[in-house]
Amino acid sequence: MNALVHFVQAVRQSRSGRISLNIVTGFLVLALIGPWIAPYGPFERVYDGAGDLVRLSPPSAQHWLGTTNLGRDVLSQMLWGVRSAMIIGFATAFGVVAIGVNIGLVSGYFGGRIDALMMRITDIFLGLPFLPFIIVILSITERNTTTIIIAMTLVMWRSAARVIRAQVLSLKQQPFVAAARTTGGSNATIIYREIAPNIMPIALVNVAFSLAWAIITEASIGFLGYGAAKSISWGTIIHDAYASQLMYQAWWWVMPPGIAIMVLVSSVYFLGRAYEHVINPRLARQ
Amino acid sequence: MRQYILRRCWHMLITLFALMTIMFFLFRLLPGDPAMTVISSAMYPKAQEAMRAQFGLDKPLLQQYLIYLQNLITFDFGYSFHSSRSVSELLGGRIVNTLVLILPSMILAYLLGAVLGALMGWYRGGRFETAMVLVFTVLQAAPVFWLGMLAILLFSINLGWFPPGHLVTPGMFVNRDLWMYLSADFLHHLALPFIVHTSYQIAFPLLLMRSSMLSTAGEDFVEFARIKGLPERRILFRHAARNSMLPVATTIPMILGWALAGSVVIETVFSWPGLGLLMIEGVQRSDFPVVQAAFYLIAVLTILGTFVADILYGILDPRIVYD
Amino acid sequence: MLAVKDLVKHYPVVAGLRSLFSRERGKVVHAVDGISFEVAAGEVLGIAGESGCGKSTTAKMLVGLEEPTSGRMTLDSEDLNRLHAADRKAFYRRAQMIFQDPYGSINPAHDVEAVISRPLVYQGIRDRADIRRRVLEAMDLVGLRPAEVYLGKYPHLLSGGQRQRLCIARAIILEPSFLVADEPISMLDVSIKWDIIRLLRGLVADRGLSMVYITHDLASVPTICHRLAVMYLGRIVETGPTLDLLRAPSHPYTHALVSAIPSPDPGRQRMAVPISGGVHDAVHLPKGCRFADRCPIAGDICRRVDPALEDRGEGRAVACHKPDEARGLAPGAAVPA
Ligand SMILES: Nc1ncnc2c1ncn2[C@@H]1O[C@H](COP(=O)(O)OP(=O)(O)OP(=O)(O)O)[C@@H](O)[C@H]1O
Ligand code: SF4
Ligand SMILES: [Mg+2]
Repeated sequence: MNALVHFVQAVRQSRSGRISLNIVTGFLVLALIGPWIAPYGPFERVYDGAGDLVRLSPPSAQHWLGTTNLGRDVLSQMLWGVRSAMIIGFATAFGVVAIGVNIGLVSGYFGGRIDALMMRITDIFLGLPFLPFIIVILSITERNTTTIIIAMTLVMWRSAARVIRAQVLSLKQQPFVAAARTTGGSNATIIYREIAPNIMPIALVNVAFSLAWAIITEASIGFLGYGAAKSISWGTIIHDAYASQLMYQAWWWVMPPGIAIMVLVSSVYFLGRAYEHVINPRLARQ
Repeated sequence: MRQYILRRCWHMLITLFALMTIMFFLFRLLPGDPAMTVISSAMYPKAQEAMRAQFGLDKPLLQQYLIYLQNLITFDFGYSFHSSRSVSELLGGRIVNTLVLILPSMILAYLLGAVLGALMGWYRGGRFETAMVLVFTVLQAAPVFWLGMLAILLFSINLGWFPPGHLVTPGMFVNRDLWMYLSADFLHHLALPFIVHTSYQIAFPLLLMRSSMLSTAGEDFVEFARIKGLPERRILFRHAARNSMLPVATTIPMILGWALAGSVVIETVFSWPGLGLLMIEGVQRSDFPVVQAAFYLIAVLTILGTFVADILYGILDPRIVYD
Repeated sequence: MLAVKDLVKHYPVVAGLRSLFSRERGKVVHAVDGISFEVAAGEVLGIAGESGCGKSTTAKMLVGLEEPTSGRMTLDSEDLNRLHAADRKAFYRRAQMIFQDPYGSINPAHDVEAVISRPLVYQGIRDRADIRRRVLEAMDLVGLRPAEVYLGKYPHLLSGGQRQRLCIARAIILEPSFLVADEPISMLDVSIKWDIIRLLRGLVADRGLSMVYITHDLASVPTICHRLAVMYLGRIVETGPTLDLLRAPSHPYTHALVSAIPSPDPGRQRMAVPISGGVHDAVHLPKGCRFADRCPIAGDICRRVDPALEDRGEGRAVACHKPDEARGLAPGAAVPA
């Protein structure tokens, strides 16, 4: 909680940080209320007064972002999609950083054989091809929000673990760690109550970058046709447009999800960078 | 140093072995009987059995695994379940297609990115620089497949400048030989995916170089060069930029592995018959000899890349001591 | 009472840098090379010596942060090695350490209250009110007053002196009977050094603590130490009651250290650097006396035979072949070899 308050205070110091924070907050709000304010369901087919399916309607007063070839309202799909982008994005980012922080802490603190073993495991994961591996996992398992989060977390934790470990290696040389040992604290106490608070800033930067990367990856998965089967995401909207071969006629169908991803992800990047500049003064020297 | 290299080589072997073992069992979990995609149930049972035997699928799993390991060592990947062609042959052609697209594009992205990033880091704080950072961050944030679709919409469909996909005009070339890759038709097809991929990839080295420059620009040796009265441009490229290259340079050995693994999306948009598309097809058809071989290749390249990057880091950064 | 007998700590030279120093395989740094001493209840023993002579290593072994290569340490006749292994937690209620670096030894992520209260929390005390009361008490004792001003502050807002007070508060909050202070004032401004010394002296007197006080210069020693041990290259070369030892050093090295004390009386200027040259490296030790290469009165025997620490009566002991000659050295007479 403390770390979060510090994060918000820190990023608000710069203009780009403030703007991005507002944008991300906006998307968070949409993720909460999106399904309520969406005029239609994500898979609902819309019929006009005469009982005909409203197919491929360009943006109009009725359908602000037009409709798809199956008569689905694009705006509603977009609004439902915010939630899945946010859930998958944040869950993956926190999963990645949680694993990365724990592996990094334990590996860096104990060193020796434990470190060697954990680094070998990390190496194995580093050898996995990113997207293809996710696709393989999603072909083996059912495709839903949970499996997508797990599949992405599996290939993303590796870099977080390495970054955190490097940080822990230098932190544990500091005399305050020795001082903590002379209080009688156990190893777990020292790792989680003395060292961990000092890697929170790095961990938060990692959350931001992982979040950005997770949102793009989730969209890519959706685009390749491996999105969650029963829910809508921005990636699957683009996939549907692509698969129907109508994307180049119905620009209103492909533009919104791409723009939404672009705006959200770049805001998250800017947030991460704004925070990085505060915690690492070397970068800020202007 | 020599001990360090030997130890790393040993680690790489272990990593590769563990990785491929996981792969083997993972792929056996893929849904559907892989044999059924090739072996028709309409065949006589005898013929079916013969086919299975040919692919080694009749043997117990453990024996299959041992044969698999043996094949990996000898780089013999067997035959594709689907097309009955040898995996090496299949893979070889696809990799060439991927590389002609990805490699030049990566090189250009790194060159442009490093130079632009250095300039941006040097002349930081200006309005122009702020705008550039915004542009490239947004570019990096856009999904590359979507950028590809926009490019097709604009340059192929509306303007008609470039074909929207594929390697060459279908039916134009009988043999896929060197002449095809040098033909105007191929280059015409290459242009659009090349531009999209380059502009997407440029953001990473560019932003990395920029932030590296930001921390170098205040260092003593830069100030010292100023005091000596060296011309600004010379300080920029000879001193500051060279010292800021380290983080960028050490990612170069990794890009081959990344690019092959990441080729999936761009190849899908442009129907570009490369390794990425092959992997997706392979997964869909449970054609594991093909997917395994592709993963193996990428793993080898990535692991070697990490190794070279670490060595490079040590050579370029005198503070590193190997132990 | 703390008793140390033949304490040794050797670090292998090649750990880590294997490939660079492969010829050094099997060689060790003789950080601490067989030292013995005792500290009675309520007594302060000073350990003095140049940088690298093994003071910090000794301190770390006393509080269980390093494991001795060999030797015996007992606290109130209980074996420390066993105590460290069996119940570290309980041990740290009896023994605490104050670190040299008041900047690095405070966790930058914790505020003052957290820093002082963590020892209690880690010892399993749950009663919030009790913790608060003891924190305030400790802060009052070390002079972090008024407590409200400091409680919520983060360490980067504190001065060096305030940080060291914080460290002392943290060290005494568990009410230990034995304290190790490793150069507690060496990184502080001159103006506050004496405040901290007086604070420590007061604590020792009020609470009847035993303390090992480590320092590399002798100026602060008379104020706080009852007895003094002078270390050189991992060995104790001379020990005795502080004032006797400072007035009449029996070892050329002690002599040199004493000469280096800046005199408060400007009229009686002493030589600032009485001996020259660096300390012999702690890996390849000479056969005879370790100080021979810098000793102004070194003789033949010195280079052949390693002098043992010998009892000279009146609680004093010295490891030198020519203690009487050393005594006769004029202040500052020690001349570079
Ligand atoms: N972890 C270690 N590994 C190897 N050698 C070490 C280690 N710690 C200390 N040493 C060596 O042991 C010797 C004694 O070090 P120590 O820190 O005890 O000296 P010191 O008297 O406290 O010096 P200072 O006044 O600089 O603090 C030195 O030569 C040092 O280089
Ligand atoms: S033994 Fe010899 S060399 Fe060593 S201190 Fe005494 S006189 Fe000097
Ligand atoms: Mg020390």
